[in-house]
Amino acid sequence: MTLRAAFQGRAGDFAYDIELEASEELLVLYGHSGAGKTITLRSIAGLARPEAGQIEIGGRTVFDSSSGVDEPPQRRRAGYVVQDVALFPHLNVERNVLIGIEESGDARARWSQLRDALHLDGLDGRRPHELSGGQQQRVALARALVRPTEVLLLDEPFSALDDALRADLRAELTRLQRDFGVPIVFVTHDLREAHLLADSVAVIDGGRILQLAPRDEVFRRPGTRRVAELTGVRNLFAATASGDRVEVDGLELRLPANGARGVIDLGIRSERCILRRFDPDEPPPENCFVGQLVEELAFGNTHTLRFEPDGVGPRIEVEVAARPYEVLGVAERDRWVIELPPEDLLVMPRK
Amino acid sequence: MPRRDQWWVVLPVLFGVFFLLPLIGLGWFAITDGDVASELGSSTTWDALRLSVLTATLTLVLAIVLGTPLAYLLASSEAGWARLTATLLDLPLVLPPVVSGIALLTVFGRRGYLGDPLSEAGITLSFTTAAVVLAQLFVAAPYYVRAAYAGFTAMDPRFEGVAYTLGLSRWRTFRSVTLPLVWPALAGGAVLCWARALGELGATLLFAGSLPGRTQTMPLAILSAFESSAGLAGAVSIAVILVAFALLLLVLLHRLSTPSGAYR
Amino acid sequence: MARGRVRLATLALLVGVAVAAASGCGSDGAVRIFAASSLQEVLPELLDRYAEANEGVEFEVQYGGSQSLAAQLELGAEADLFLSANEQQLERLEEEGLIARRAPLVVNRLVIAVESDSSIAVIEDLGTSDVRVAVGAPAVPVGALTERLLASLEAGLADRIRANVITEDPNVRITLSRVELGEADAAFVYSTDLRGTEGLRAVEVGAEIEPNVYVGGLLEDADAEVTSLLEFLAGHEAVAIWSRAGFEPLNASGGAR
Repeated sequence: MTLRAAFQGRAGDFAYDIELEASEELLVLYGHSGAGKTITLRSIAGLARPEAGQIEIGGRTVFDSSSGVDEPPQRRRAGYVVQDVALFPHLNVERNVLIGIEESGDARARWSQLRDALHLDGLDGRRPHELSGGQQQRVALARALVRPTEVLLLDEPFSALDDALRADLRAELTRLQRDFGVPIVFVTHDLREAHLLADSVAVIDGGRILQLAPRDEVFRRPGTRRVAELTGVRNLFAATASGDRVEVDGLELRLPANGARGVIDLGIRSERCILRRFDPDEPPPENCFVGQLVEELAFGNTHTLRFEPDGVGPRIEVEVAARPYEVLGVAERDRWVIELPPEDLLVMPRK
Repeated sequence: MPRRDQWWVVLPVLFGVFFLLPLIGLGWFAITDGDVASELGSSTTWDALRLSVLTATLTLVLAIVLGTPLAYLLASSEAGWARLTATLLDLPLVLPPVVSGIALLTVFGRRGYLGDPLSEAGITLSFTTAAVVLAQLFVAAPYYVRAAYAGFTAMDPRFEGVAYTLGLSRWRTFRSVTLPLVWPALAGGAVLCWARALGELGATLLFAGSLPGRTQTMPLAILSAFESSAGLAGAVSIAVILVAFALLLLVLLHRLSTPSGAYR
Repeated sequence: MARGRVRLATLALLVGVAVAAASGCGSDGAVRIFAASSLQEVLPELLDRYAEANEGVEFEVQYGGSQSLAAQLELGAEADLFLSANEQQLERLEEEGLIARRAPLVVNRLVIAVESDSSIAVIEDLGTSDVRVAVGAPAVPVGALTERLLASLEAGLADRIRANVITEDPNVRITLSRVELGEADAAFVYSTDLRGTEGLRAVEVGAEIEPNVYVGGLLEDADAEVTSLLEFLAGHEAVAIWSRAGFEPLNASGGAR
């Protein structure tokens, strides 16, 4: 079962042009608010109508502007879960789940399977306001899956839950996916949540998908400077590349061979930078430069340190875990050698 | 000893007294000077009461049947005309009822714009029971539509979207999701509409006249009694009956509008 | 239609008066008069004439249905002189000891108001089917008078007329407006109500029934000035003005008693 969508449209002043594909996996649609995430889900579900394009769910064309196909939401077999209006407040759990179902043995069997899978035993008669946040989301998931569903669309469903609950639900989502074999499109603006849940990530910005790739690829090899920015890369510089060398603010760095030439965007995650003790008698080794510590933010388990270059090199932000911070004695010194390992440098072409 | 920061309670208490005292005064006046018993025995009073309840209820039914779709349409449309219409809905609320009655006559009266076509079709509206209902509908229905519009506007449209994706048709979604969610607003509007229709006087007098058994509702009976030699005492006696009856029905309606199954 | 519209504003006002009981509060010095609304056209002229002879006197007049006004007086509204469109209201106030002195003023007669081009010529025409007739409520003086008239007619005719009644109004001006707006073909009103209207004419009821008497009542604790005003209104000097307005003098010699 797959989801394929390529469509364009407008919602008021906002124009969007979306291209998505998801197989039986959890695709996180990640972007800031206003990026076009919700309109994308609504278009797939049939609640919003793009001006042009095609949408295919489980091999069925549900929208095709060229042939005039536009299936109503009732027939798209898309389960849609929204965080803050997850359940109908006036119906109990069982009636919430079975509301769209003609009483049939199939649905009953599926419901009891879901009730077990999602730990919802004994809650049938409860009203939504009598459930915890996690239970409400589980009921909403069950409701979306109890009818034949070929894609599950989740619009920030866990944003009100804490990390531990999210991890539990992630495990349950994975299990559901194995059992039901549906693609899941999961919308979030929370980078941690995206990282935690995703098989693949689609980065959306200004109504367009900037990059869609397996999670680690998106985080390790952002396709553009904007994707790097959105996925939390704090150090981004304009640089000039030639073969395996690159020059940033007078500092020459070695790159893994990739054949980039000319002006590029260079980036490195702050947690990938390495801090070394400064020794005035020893010149900095390869891919290193000397920096002056100018600002420090303590987050408890990590410290964020900001450096000004002492001579050549860029301004840089380095994240150090609490333990190395103490072992190195960062607090006692303010001149440090910063190493930018070649395998952690992100090279992005300039358009 | 009340706490010092609770002085404001004086205001609601005063306000409550302001509403309560005149009603008590009315009741007292009816007991001392009036003759409620003889009015209760008068067929004119019962005819008027029966007609009032009948027409106000018909008005409410029409307001619900016609007003609910209108309010829903206005609330779900983002177009400028919808917002303009929603504003125009308030207009009958500020029109003096007498003006509303004249306005109705200019359209449905014998010399009104629709008077000739209607009479050719053999339909006379003015000075009939139907005219009473039309007058009440014109004056009172906006209360219902207004409340329903506010209810539909306040409801998160995503509930309906989710219902559609669950396979519910538009009509079933409206019935099993939308309606229960806006029920309190609709019920509140219905009570207002019914109460306003029950108290309608000016528009009814002008458009429907005042004929016992046919168009003389309770307020018109009260007005007629007031202008008669029975005077104040007679008017107050009938008024007390109307107030008592309306109170009874309002209590019942409030019961209905907050069913025990209501969600929080 | 146009004629009807001209009257609409007045009409709205009248109903307002009928419904609302305005509070009566007078300023110092002025004579406070509560007058039946049917006196609205004639009273200013009468008062002007009186003021010519009595310099410096000022008036404050509040018009309304006689019953509304009587009710307000019963509830403690302050006034010096009450000009009622019938005797019953004044008698009630008298029983309550509110009236110091009374004087019958003039009478007016019941007539049938129809449009000028109406085919209705005699009261018998009101028994024809499809004629719409407006009357006053039986509890209201003009309605009571109409009822007495109908009772004096041949029973079959009276029943046919009653079957044609479309409204029993709480106020005679509203009854008249039914013909003005074209909603009724005929209305039983006082002869004076037709004064100053356009496009209407009166059909005589053609039966002897006792006319309606206007009475002036002096409220307790009104001063001497007001007594002389009441005498003026009931006296010979005023007759010409009353007559021009359609009121008829009393057969018996007037004067205060």
